[in-house]
Amino acid sequence: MRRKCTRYEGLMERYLTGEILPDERDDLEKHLSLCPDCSRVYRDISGVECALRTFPGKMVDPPPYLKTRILASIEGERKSLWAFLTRTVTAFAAILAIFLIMAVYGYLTRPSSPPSPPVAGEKAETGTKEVKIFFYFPDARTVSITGDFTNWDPKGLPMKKTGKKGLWEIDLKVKPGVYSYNFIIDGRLLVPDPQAPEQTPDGFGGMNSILLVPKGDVS
Amino acid sequence: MSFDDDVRIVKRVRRGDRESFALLVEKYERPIFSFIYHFFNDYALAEDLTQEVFLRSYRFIRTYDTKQKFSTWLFTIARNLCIDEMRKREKERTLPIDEVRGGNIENPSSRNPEDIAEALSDSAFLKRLIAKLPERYRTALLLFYFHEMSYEEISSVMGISMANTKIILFRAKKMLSDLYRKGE
Repeated sequence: MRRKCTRYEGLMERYLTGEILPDERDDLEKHLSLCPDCSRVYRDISGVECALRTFPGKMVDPPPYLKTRILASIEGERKSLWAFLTRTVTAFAAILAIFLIMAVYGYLTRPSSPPSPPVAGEKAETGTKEVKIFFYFPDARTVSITGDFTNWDPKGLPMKKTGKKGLWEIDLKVKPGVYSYNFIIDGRLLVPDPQAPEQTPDGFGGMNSILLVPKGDVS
Repeated sequence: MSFDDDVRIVKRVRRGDRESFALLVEKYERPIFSFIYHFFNDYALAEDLTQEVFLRSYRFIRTYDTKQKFSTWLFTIARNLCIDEMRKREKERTLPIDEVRGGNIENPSSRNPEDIAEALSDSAFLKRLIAKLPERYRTALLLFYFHEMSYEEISSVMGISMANTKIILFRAKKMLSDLYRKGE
């Protein structure tokens, strides 16, 4: 096809699909009878057009499990979003509750004299605290702990066996604050801590344990 | 299920009715899977990317303009994912356009051009040739001939004018005939 023939490309396409105007058709047919290159291109493209229109396998069946897989991935994403929102709201609510309790407690036990200024060493209290957590589960082969402090890592932090049968322990190093957490039994079963002072719904019908790490000495 | 039905379902999904999304998956799973499969000629990859198309469409369903056909929007997502995948692989198997459009018209190979329709009736051979086309030509060809989309719908999916769509379709077919002549 020569450079001057490129204007016939659009006409050929419309000719093949029957959209061409009568004047344009006459022009194209005349050109095809005079230009062997365009005539050959047109024959080739007609052949390709025919092959494409009669192609037998235009639609291919996906595997039967694909729909389930798609819907499961959507559900998984929705749950992870919901879990994130639940955790965030729970954490904010718990922090707010602690501030309110502290404010009320401070008001009720306020000293008659003005409060003394901060003493040296208070700054150190803003660092991490070590909290020992115990969990009794005699049938477990492995126990780990996961929560806000691990970004809910599915593996969690492994707990160690204590000397007593079925009793597991871990020393957590966390900053003062409020954390949701649970235990993972044998890498698959998520259970709340029955010893936790407080539990909140996890949004999926289960419960999350709440860990309060106050400023100051930790018992 | 018509265009209006799709829009009604989308509105239900937006209101939080997740189960309705299954109807859209049911309807469009096969066309989207077929498009991706022919795009890459790869069944396993088509599975993964089809899943991703629906996941993205669910995630961004609020951005869908209900004046547009849902299928057009879905195919736009599918095309963009295919382009991303091509870039990620860094092994695009298409030939550069200039190579395909080269001077073989003036120097045709020994293959008889009259046989082209018969040769391409071998669907496996035609599939391999289609997978060698540059992305935009491949996309336009698949949407027009395999998914029976109109010029208007293709121009919407690809973000080009209708006149340009027609030229691209013509050149895609010309490239296929050139690939055949070159003995690809």
